[in-house]
Amino acid sequence: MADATTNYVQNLSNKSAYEISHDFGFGAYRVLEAGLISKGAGFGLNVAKYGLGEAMWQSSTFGPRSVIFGRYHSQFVPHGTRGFLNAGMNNGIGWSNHGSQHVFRAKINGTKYLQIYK
Amino acid sequence: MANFKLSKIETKEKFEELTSLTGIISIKLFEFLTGPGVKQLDNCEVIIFSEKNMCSFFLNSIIKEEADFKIDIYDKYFDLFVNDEEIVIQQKILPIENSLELIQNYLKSKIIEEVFKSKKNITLRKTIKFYLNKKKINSVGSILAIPYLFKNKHKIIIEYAPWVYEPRNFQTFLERGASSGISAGGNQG
Repeated sequence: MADATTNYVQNLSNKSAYEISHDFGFGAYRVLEAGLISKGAGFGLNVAKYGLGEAMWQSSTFGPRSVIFGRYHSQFVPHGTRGFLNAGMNNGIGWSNHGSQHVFRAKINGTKYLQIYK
Repeated sequence: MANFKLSKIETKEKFEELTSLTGIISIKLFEFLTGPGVKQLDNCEVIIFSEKNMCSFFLNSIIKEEADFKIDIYDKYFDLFVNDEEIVIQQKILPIENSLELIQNYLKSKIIEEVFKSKKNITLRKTIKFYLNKKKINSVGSILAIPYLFKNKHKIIIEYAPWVYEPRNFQTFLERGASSGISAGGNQG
């Protein structure tokens, strides 16, 4: 790995700007891919272990701490974050309450199309 | 934490534990609910979490003539639930007048709940409609992702009276109720 990196750096002067940017782009893509696979595998394991609702609740991407779908309430979800997609009266995606239960829902024009209980 | 029944003889002192916007809007809502136009508050209560600066109003109807309301006021936000269904969540209180008017409009509105159920009593679709002065102000609901798999559905319509009547309408409502007996209970058809 170290030899390969040294060779790559030594050959940099022989490469065009297009080739270098292509190589960097490919490297970034591989890092992103590895991250997504790792995240997806972890989430899939939690779904198998606890069920979809609980796995989503524990996830940092879909859970109450998420900056996208999160829910903050000073009594019921004090550790949560107010997600930017989870606000407003009629449209929103994120965590809410149904009675005393936490529910992940997608609401469009006042109608809930998705409802997953924790 | 303070927990007390909501009644017209309560004083505002209990709300003094709350500060900032939560305190202001809680007192205004309390005044509105204990003012003229409200028929019964026997089953209603307020919980104040002074350490979290939060106030929860529970408006529970005794004979289910009115829909059950829950209003949470915390930090700079409020949540509103009707029959355990979310109507408004994480709504900013500012400006106070607009937020108060929004809550008051829901409390003044007549509510019609429509539920479609399958033969096995699975809820396929549920809609809650709010009418203020015979004009629809909002409707919320939920729909099952695969309703076409269930047949033999039947529809249930439940009508709820408003919690707060306009003073003029309230007077005529009381007069009518005294002469003919108030028709109580959600009409099911």
